[in-house]
Amino acid sequence: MSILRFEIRSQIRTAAVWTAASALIISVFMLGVYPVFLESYSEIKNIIAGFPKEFAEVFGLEMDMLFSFEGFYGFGSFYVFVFGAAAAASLAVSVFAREKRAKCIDFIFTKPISRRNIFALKLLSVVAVLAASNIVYVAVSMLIYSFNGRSDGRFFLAACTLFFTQLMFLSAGVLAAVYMKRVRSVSGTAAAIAFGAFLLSALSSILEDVYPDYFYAPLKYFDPIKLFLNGSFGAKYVFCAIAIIASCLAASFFRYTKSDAKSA
Amino acid sequence: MNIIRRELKTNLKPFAFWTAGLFILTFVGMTKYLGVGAEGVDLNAISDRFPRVILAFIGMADADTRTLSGFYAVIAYFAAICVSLYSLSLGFNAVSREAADKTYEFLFTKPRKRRDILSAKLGAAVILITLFNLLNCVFPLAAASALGFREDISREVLLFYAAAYLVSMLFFSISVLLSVLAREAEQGARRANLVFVFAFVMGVVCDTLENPGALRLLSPLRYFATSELLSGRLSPSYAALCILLTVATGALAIRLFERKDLTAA
Repeated sequence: MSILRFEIRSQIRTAAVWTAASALIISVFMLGVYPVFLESYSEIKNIIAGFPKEFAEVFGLEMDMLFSFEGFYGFGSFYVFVFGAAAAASLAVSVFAREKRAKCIDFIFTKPISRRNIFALKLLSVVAVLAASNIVYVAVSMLIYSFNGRSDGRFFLAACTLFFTQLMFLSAGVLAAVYMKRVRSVSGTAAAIAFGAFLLSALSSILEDVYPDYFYAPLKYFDPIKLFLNGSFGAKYVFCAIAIIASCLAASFFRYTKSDAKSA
Repeated sequence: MNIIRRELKTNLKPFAFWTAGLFILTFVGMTKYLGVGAEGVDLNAISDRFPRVILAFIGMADADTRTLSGFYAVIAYFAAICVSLYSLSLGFNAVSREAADKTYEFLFTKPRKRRDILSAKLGAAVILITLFNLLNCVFPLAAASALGFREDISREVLLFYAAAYLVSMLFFSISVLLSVLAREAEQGARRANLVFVFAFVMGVVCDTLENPGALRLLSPLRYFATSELLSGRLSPSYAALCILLTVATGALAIRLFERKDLTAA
């Protein structure tokens, strides 16, 4: 229990800042940018009307989606995801590499508590912090949504996408923290993970014409726009996400409980 | 010399990682260039109607993506972000690698002045930044010729390259100074990253306003405005400001480092 308390306490301030920032980003998008965006819609509709008919039909639907509150929320979510990915990874790295960074692994491993329990408690603490942060985020999203007087039951799920995405990056962060020989900088490692994921998403938006599947771009697995268009994220991506989380955590658990406790 | 060689060697792996990132960004980005609407559909007509704030977010304000040079400007914006992030990481690693590894006694008890050690490390980092920026110049040119674009963008590539080089050196110095000032190694890295996020947000704000005025001073990513670069002009006053700030923060960092209380944290 004291591990849980210690880790949560050590993360709570940073997590509060991350939470406030992600709530701020989505509020700026939905309350500040969206109204301006909507104003330009009628002109864009006119342009689409001038396109060849088949194209205009398909493309018009896409644009209708982007200009709807839900669609724009999905667009803004991507930026929150990149940011949230960094937050989740940094949370995991800082908790799981704490002893490695301070060169005091022997301190915690000689305590009368099994390594499995240490791992489990650390994991529990980061998931708890992440969940608390997302409760705030979902609440803010739902509040903005209700201001707009819209009601779509799927919106709640769409607001939870940040949590699902962050769980993947949390596991990736745990994996990095446990397997890296040295963790010099928490924010550096987290920034590298998030930037890499961002590049993969950029890659996928370019390759989508030739190769429609985007298994290599985890930031797009839980795309709110997909949810509103098709009613689901796509079972294969949900499965993929679960597989990523499970395999990262299993590999880390194995390593954490079995590796030599090197202090140097 | 030993220090420079060692620094270059340890930084080799991250360098390869960042190079791969820049390569993907540039090559894959360039293949996306559509030119003037295929099949009679001009998608650019739509993005013209998007409000500036949206365009600012995706780096498309002031860039006419119908032309190859305008399209390249968008990629160059992301490349500048990539180059700057790499420079930041080199900055705080140069100052605090040994502190983070808790091996600083090994290095700083060697019969070399602290100033010389730090200068050698910074020298190695500058070499890497220069190399990385050169790649940022070579990749787009190679991509343009590999993809067989007829439009010549070598002038734009050179200008955007020069701008990214100046800006990344500035971010590098800032990161070095912040790491020297920080008590713990982690603090320096965190602050440097925060400065970058701030600069990015200010860049978006600048792009959203058509005449940012003095705000531009706060956003190094926009010191060299896209519209200016596209018209073939590298603002000499901002270039001077950039160099001045880089040298000043760098010199200050080296001086302060001589009196820094080195602790293993």
